Amino acid sequence: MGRSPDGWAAWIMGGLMIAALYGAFVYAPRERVMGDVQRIFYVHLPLAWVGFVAFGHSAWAAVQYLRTGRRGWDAASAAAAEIGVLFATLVIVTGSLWARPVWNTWWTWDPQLVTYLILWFIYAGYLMLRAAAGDDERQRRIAAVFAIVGFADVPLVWLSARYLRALSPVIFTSRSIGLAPQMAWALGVGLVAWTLVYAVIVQLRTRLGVMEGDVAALAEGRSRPA
Amino acid sequence: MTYLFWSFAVVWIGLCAYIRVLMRRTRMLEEELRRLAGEPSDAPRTASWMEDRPAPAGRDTPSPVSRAAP
Repeated sequence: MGRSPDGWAAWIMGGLMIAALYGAFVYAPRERVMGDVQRIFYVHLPLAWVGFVAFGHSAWAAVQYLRTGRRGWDAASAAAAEIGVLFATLVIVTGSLWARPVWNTWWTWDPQLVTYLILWFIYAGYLMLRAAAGDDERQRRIAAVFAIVGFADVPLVWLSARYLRALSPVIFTSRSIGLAPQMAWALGVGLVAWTLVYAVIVQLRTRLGVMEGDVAALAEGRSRPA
Repeated sequence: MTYLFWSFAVVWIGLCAYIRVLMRRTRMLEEELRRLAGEPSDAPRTASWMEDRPAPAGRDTPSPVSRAAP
């Protein structure tokens, strides 16, 4: 009995996610200063990473759409942006939940948080633009340009965390990882697990976007788009 | 630990809700695609039992008995 690739991915994803939860709650040692609340970090950072991957994926698919004009790329770009916004929202929520007991604030207007909020607004705007524009070639091209330009904010978030005064600690430097080995393992498993979650969801959402195009084309009496 | 548990729960509730919406929308679109392509649907259809039954024998429909009659 052969299992489908989707079935395998789901099983691997489930196993890795259990390992990531075990790593975050049990395997990783308790942080000396922050205590158990620091364990939010093991979900917060992977979510942020996947958010960046999603926005990068959206911009790359948008470039491919502008180059080839194939609807599949447009669907992939929209899917990645939508999931990116979802993950970015969860990053902001988990960041606030982490900051409140540790730094005694839900939010602070430091450059990293502000640039991240701008990134969220850019892609939320992109989704609103797509929802309002409808199924039109010109609008899709404008949305693709929007997705590409929006990605320019991602390096700003990265650089602001690194070089400007920010609430989030800098973990990765060019010389070392600023974590105990067990913490680094827990984080690594979390990064892999959440990246796989993204890969599975984005595939599902892209398929949905292609089907939406098919339904719209069939409803109008056109043949299915490429 | 309770605070930590609920923080993780927020993430999982958000993710599960999103996946649930995606799955429901996918099922609806699959059904819509089948309908538009004119293929038979997998979903239960209302009153489908009526379509499978033979037409009721009315006054003008000959029954096996009347057909056999001279």
